[in-house]
Amino acid sequence: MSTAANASGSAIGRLLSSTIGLKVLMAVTGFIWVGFVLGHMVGNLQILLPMPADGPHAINKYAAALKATGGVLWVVRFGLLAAFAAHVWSAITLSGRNKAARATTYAVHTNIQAKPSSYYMLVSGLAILGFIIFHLAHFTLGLVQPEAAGHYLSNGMHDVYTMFILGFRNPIYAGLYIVSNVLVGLHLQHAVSSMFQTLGLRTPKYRAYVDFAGPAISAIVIVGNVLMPLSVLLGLIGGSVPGS
Amino acid sequence: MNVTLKVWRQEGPNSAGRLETYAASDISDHMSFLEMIDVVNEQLEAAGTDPIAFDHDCREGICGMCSMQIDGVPHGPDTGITTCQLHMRTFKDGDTITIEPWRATAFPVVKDLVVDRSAFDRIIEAGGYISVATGGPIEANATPINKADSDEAFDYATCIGCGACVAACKNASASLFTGAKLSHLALLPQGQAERYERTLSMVAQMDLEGFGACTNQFECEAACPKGISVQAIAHMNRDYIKASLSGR
Repeated sequence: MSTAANASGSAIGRLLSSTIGLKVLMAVTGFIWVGFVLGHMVGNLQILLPMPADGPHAINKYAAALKATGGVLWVVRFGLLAAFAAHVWSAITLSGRNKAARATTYAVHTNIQAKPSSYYMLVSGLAILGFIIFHLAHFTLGLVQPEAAGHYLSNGMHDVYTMFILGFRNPIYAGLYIVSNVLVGLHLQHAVSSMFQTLGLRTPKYRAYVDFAGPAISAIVIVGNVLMPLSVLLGLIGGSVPGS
Repeated sequence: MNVTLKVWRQEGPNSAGRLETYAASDISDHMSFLEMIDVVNEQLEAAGTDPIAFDHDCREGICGMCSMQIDGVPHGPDTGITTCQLHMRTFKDGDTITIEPWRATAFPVVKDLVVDRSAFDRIIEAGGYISVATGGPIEANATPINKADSDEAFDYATCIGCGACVAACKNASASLFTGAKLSHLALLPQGQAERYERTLSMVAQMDLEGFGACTNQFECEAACPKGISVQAIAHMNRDYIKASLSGR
């Protein structure tokens, strides 16, 4: 059997050069991030729990427990960073090839069945990249609102609860998070179902579940992540925190 | 009926093209789309103008030659048909119809609406066959094949290589074509011996021809005149991952 130029070579070489290999890389790294986004959301939804009569709020204990893992936390952080970098790199590489594959465009283009969100994956993805950088500067590094991030409890624990409430009392920041999380949701609407198809798992037996997974996870992420800033903005939580 | 055509005219592979406007008058709504172009071409020839070049052969939906993007959709607005099976009754009197060639870097324009689809032939040459040593024919019923597998293989084997999947895809990806050709052999006992080698070779050739990646919008499936499912792409990807991981 004749062999085309890049049919031979290592599995890693193919993963990083062929269109299917790059899509597989995107699917696997995307899967890791979907897991993170869901875990991050569930952890932070603890902000909605009532303030206990004594002792720190659940979110402060949760934050302290995460930080106490020390080395594990850094392994996870670097793992997520590597997955993100690989995801963006494969997206940009493929996007370049895709544009080259249709150098001359149609004068008239009609969409037959593609979901609208699937047309804006690169744009929504790059917007999410910008949002994540802002989000890290805001809440992880405390650079955007140092006056909100610099609160500590009497036992020395970082007061994440106060940072969270003061952060989202600002309508500009709350609005930015709401818009960004809707974008994350729209990205996942296409991404999650697409990931299973790329990995060859959208078989007749599981097709209905795979097609449902994208819109379902998208809705969960939008509702969960918008609920948090919105609750603060509407004054439903955080009454105990003074200041604006 | 009377319609206005906006047709891509391009003298040769390296010339600049443009959309030209023609009136198609007194067209019977029983005519096929290609017969309508035949009538327009007769009028163009009578007027001393070069007729519109377009690919066509069987005119019964099995050869896959009649490639054209009609109002932004391969083979026009009806589903599950080629251009020769598209009838003028699909359109309304007074409509303006835009006709363009398939747009893909891997399918260069030869003239007007004619594109060179030999990239597909080279993908087939890279492995879309089974190697059989010559000898006496084997009794067909001696090879048991699961009914579901044979049905699915047959669905993929209905691919006529028209290129509508590439034309419809925003990335001009040949994933549905390559997936159909691979899966049709991968599902049958005769295709097993060379299955993974074939997958690697044909995918490599597909990339080499300059087709884009699959973005899972499934426009190809909707545009395919034979209704081939994107399950073929999932099948190809699964085999490609297995072939890569097995280190062949």
